[in-house]
Amino acid sequence: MKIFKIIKKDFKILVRSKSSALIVLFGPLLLILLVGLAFNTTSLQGIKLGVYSPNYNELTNGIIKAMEDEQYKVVKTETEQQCIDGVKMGVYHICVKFPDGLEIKNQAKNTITFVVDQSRVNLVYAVKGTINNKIGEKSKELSLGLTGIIVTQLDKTKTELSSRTGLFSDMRNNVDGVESKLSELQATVNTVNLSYTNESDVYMGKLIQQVKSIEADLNETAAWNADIEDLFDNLKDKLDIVDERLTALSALEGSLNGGFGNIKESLTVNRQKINEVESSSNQIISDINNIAVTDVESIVSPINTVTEPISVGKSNLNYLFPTLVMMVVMFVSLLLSSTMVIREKTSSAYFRNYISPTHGFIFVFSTFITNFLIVLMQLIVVFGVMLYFDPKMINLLVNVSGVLLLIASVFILLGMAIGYVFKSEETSTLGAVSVGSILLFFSNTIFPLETLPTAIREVVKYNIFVVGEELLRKTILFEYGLEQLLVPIGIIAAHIAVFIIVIILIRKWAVARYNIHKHFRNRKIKS
Amino acid sequence: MPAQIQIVNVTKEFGKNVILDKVSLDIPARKIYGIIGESGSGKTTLLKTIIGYWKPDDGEVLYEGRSLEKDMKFIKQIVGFATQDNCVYPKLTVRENLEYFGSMSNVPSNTLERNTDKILDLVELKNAENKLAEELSGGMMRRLDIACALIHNPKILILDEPTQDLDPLLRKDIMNLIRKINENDTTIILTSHLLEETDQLCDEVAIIHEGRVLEAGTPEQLKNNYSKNEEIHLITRERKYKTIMSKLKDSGIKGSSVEGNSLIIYSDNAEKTLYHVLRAVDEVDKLIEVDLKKPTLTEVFENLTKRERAKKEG
Repeated sequence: MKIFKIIKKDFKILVRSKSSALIVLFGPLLLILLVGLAFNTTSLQGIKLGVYSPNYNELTNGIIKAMEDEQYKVVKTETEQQCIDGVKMGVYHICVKFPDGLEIKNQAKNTITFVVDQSRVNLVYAVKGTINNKIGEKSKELSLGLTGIIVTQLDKTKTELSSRTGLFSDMRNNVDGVESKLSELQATVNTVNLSYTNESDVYMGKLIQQVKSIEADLNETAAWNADIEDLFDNLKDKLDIVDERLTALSALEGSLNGGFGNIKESLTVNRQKINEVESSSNQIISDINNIAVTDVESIVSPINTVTEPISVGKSNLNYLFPTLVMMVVMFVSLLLSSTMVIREKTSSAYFRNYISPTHGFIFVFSTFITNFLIVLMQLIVVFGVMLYFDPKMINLLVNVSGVLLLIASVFILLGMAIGYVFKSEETSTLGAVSVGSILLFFSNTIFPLETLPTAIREVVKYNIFVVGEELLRKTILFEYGLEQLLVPIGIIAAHIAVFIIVIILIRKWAVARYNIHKHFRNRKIKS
Repeated sequence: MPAQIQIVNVTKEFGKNVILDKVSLDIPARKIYGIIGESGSGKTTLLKTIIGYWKPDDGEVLYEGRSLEKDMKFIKQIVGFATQDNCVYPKLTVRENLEYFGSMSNVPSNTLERNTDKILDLVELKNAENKLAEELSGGMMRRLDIACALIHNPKILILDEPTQDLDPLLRKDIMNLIRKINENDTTIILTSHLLEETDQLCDEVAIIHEGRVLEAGTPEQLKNNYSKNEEIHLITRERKYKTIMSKLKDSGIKGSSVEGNSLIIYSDNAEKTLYHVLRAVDEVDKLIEVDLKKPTLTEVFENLTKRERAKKEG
């Protein structure tokens, strides 16, 4: 079958070209192996938290301890600014700001603030989530405590009220007794007839008439005697009635005295019971008043958290911008320079350059400058877009340009080294993409570096993508001056020096040999 | 004439393989010097050593008395090199290529334009100076390549298989060009697997076999020393070759042989002997075909290599 012959031929060619075989077959495997080893973990490691509180109390210390229990390294800073600057500098992953006098009480503003670097959004969410959980646990614990106090009080009140339930029954019985007694007394009173008003009126009228008659009769003596007698009779009758009534009243008085005595006694008992109830109520009220936190919000979530970005007024584009620019610069520089070198190297004209009196370094430097100018043109476009969206960035232009050109230089040199190592454009491109991917995988872009094992992270922190991204973030987002970034600039400069040496060595030993071989093909003798 | 390039006892080994074994050559100035040898004989390694790519394990290469190793910069300045491939940028025009390589070869900018014009005239590419190199024909491209090697007016031009892959007419063009360049007192060292061409073109040749120089000298010297005499090949109707040879006893003939239908007569001076041969044939037979063959470099080469093999085999 022709197809199999062709496939067999293709495989032979592939395997016999060492660099192609290495890149095509083993490159992806190596990549997977490295990434697999590196990211085979679920936890965040080596997280450093900056913590600031105007005053540390039991509660803040408790929360800090909870974070420390999570294997986070917690550093208490002297000032709030130190804490925030630590995040900007990358010393701390998150700054945790406690409010002044964090305590559980009514109307307390227990808001813990996370100051985060939004440009490291994946790390921020991961760490913030974990810390939030820890603080949430503490908050829940406090909430449970507060709710427990209230529930206990309710329970106590219930018990107290239950124990006093008999008093109400007794009081009700007493009141019933008083009511019954009063009814009796009312009935007794009703039986006493004290209404003699009409009769008295009649009698008085009669007595007045009799007095007038006696006055008239004064003039007529006979008549006077009869009238006097009659008057006395009437008076006697009247007095009899009064006497009768008074007797009845006297009886009533006795009856009432007895009744009122009973009522008084009942009321005295009731008063005692009411005093007892009042005492219980006062106790309950006092106990309730003793509950420190009654504010519903404070009970439900005694501690709140808010997140503040270090640099305010920035959109997501701003935060992603350094990473995006880094990716563009890295891939453009790597691919462009490696392609340019391999094209030059594999061109027949390369040999003539090699044998010319011009020093090899001049060619390397010229290739670098060519690439640099192309990347510069692309960066001008990127800057144009950047300034269109955020005109304020014009102030950062000098610093950002300096940093970007430094970063571009290191990637161009790396790309050139790749170009000099490989023999064909295809393998060189594959090599450049693979190297770029590795640098990208081992950066903060996909997973936070903090997910890597410590040993690997110690190496990866010198990854030029990581260092470059840090430089860009600090320059663009935190507006750092170059003098504040001497360490990462130094790392990039060291990489540049190493790559220059590597390029010169490779060019001298490997590439020239390849091209010279190419130009000296053996020929058969012909006559 | 003092040698412009002296290759003195140059030995080059790769592992246990001795590629150049005490090679010594004196290449005179202003001559066309050919290096011929079988595939794997060490020609390539010798050229690599001459241009300074390989450092010899032993011996040295001297250009005008200056050590290649110590004066590489100077030597690069006086040497032009054209490989089998055309070492030009296809996307640059003819003039741009020349100007670029001129700059790389430290030609001052004020003389570069003059040099370029001169070279364009020399290689007859003036009319194509603004054409992209990739648009040139094979012969033009080869001329451009040689022009690039000449742009810095080198004293020595090294050409590796300069007529490789060209048709006979273009080959002739290039040979003429090489002669023209040489007329300007440029020393030319070339390798070629086309021995006839080397024979015609070169003032001196060196034959290399298994890393050693078997012989070096002018083609005439080599032919005299290592080839059989000139030959007269003839075919007659009745093939009375014995009778013919008996009539030529006193004609200065060095020998004869019969190969197939032909009688081959060896002589120091074939043109002179031919007269006697034709008279003898006329007397005893009828001539059908006659051919006069002079000795060639190929013959020298074959004889020398055969001798070497025989020596080796014991």
